[in-house]
Amino acid sequence: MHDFEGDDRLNQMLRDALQELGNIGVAHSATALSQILNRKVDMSVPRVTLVRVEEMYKRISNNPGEVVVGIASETLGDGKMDLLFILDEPSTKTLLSALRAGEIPPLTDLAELDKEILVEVGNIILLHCVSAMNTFTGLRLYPMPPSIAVDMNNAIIQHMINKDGEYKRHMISVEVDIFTETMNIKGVVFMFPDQTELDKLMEQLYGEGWDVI
Amino acid sequence: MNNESPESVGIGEVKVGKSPLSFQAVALGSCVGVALYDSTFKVGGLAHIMLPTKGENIAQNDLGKFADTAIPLLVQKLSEIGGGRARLVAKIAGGAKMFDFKRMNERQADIGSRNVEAAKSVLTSLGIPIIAEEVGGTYGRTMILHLSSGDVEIISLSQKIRKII
Repeated sequence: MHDFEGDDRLNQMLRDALQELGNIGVAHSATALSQILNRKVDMSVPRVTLVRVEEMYKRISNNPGEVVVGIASETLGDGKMDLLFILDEPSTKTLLSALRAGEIPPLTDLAELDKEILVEVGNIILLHCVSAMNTFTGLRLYPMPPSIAVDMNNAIIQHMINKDGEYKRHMISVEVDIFTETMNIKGVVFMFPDQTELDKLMEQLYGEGWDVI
Repeated sequence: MNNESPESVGIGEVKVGKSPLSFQAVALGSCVGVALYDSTFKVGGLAHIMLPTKGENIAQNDLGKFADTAIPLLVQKLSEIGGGRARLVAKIAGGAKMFDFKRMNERQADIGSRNVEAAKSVLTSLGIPIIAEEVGGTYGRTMILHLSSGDVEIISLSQKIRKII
């Protein structure tokens, strides 16, 4: 893994590469979501940041114990990328009420059907992030069917931090606002591309041997 | 039990203190919380552990993240404030599997259970008995250690559990 705290120029180049990746992923997700929601969907330019693992929960809420929805997936194929999409309670409720009739219960009481709807939306967002990575790098990554957890913010995020038993210090966070004329949803995607994917991404943008400039 | 809100122990932190303080590890998922307590002097501490074993090139201030370095560090910090190793008892919580992936060839156990196993084996090798545990499952837990009594409170919001171990 590149040392994100190291060389400033490398750091900035990597940041730009990831920003570009985020832009493409988000643009495609917006189109797909418009079809599901049957209305025009806009998304903000994603805010791409490298976050220390101890601070990740703060991207969602300052309360590590706040109940949120997490949809996680990982890729098979040419590389392994971990992905996690998180929605807080207000955003989840807004999204569900746009997709089905009736009262939306508190997050801890969501019915299976509601969870399935959320998995589908999460799946669309994550699929487009992977597809952007594929388009960009020429790698072929295949996302696994996602899995959902409704639980405390920090507990869900820990899955990303230590699932492979490897020590990670930073994670890439892509924050995006999804909005239509009547609603505003804030979602955060955490990505953890492996070395192969980062190298390919940098190579596409900066040419071979980018890391020895 | 004191009424002040417990001091937070974040990922990779190891904190010790005396009665009537209390410590909490908020939202343990696959991480594991290890609470040690000396009931004679009412001192104790909490570690919020992220991984089983320390790899290479780990900085000194990251030692609290790994079971094999965090637990010895906790024991050492306790001895500095009067916690006698021979009197220490342990309570552990966390180590859940938050997401259920259907994989074709799962080569090793999920990180939650590996964290629990590692914590147990380190405690056993140090001769510290584990007198209570609330581990595994598929849900997050908040763990609160009350140094006035040695009680450990477990809260799960998703399962609506609140109990003392």
